[in-house]
Amino acid sequence: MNLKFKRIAEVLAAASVVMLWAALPAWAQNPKLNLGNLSKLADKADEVVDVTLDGPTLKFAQKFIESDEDDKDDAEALKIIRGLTGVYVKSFEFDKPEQYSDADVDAIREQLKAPGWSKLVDVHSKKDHELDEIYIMTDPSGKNLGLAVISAEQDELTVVNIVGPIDVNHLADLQGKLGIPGDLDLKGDKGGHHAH
Amino acid sequence: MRTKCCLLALAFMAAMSATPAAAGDREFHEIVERLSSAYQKKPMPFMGLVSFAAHFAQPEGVSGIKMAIFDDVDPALVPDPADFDAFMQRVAGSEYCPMVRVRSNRDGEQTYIYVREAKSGYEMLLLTLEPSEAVVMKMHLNPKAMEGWVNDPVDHGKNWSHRDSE
Repeated sequence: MNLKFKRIAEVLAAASVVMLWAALPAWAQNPKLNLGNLSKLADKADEVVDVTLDGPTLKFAQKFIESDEDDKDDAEALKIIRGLTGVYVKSFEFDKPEQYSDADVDAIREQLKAPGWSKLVDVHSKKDHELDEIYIMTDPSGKNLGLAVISAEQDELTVVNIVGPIDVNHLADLQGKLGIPGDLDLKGDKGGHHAH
Repeated sequence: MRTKCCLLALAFMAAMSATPAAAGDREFHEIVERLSSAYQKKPMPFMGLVSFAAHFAQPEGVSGIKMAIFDDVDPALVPDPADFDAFMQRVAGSEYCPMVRVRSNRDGEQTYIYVREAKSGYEMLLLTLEPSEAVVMKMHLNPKAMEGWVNDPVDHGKNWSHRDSE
């Protein structure tokens, strides 16, 4: 009898492990990045911009725009922000080059190796010491879950993290909006190559 | 006589609007107190009157402006940014959502914008520290006014504090 119970317990335990394993990819697909490691750059930076649009702020903006959908501009804006749950921007301008390290950028890139993330744009200019990388997170059905932009120059570093189903076609429309700097190369126009 | 009555009424309204520590103003007053202590001076007098005047001049969708301005402050007494970050988070972080934080070591400027949902709109706490002056504002925004802030929060924050301290 005891053996039978032991066997059932073993089967249940194995089933639990399998269920947890199956649920893991969805559970692990969190497009919100931890940008905390960049905070230490604030002391070295000439100018720091830190924008957080999430929770009630963003929800309320969506509700308002929905109520005025006849307005063409608002309709465009709605296309962009519909369903977003967070927009996070951290931007640092330095008065001299090399104030941030590769390790600072790599700490963000490490998070973008998590399941679901893929690189959409990868522009590197060795000559100008510039890079623009755009990553998108999708779920197994191909639905966009979020987006990340890393834009770096010798004396500038900007990271943008958008959480929610962002339409990539409207990405460039976000420049200069929602606290996202207007001079970001969200189309990857500086040359280099696009990763797909 | 009529002028005297008007002045009395204005003074009364100014005094009313300057009455401290309504329940929802805790954060505003704590920030003003902290700055008073850091700068070793009180905010500009007659801010109640200025707030009252702002009531008539405020842009559409903005109401309930409460303001404290510290001018001609000693730049050496500007609070340490890291300490002040922690202070702001402690004072406003539980009730408000942080929305924008701008720190310019180049110009010695710091801007904080915190927002929370309120009846029929938003309540915004805005603070700018500059080398020689500081402005603390609290205001109510209706959804239309909030749209501009969501659309371009950084420039809105910078422009607002400059306009209202002039």
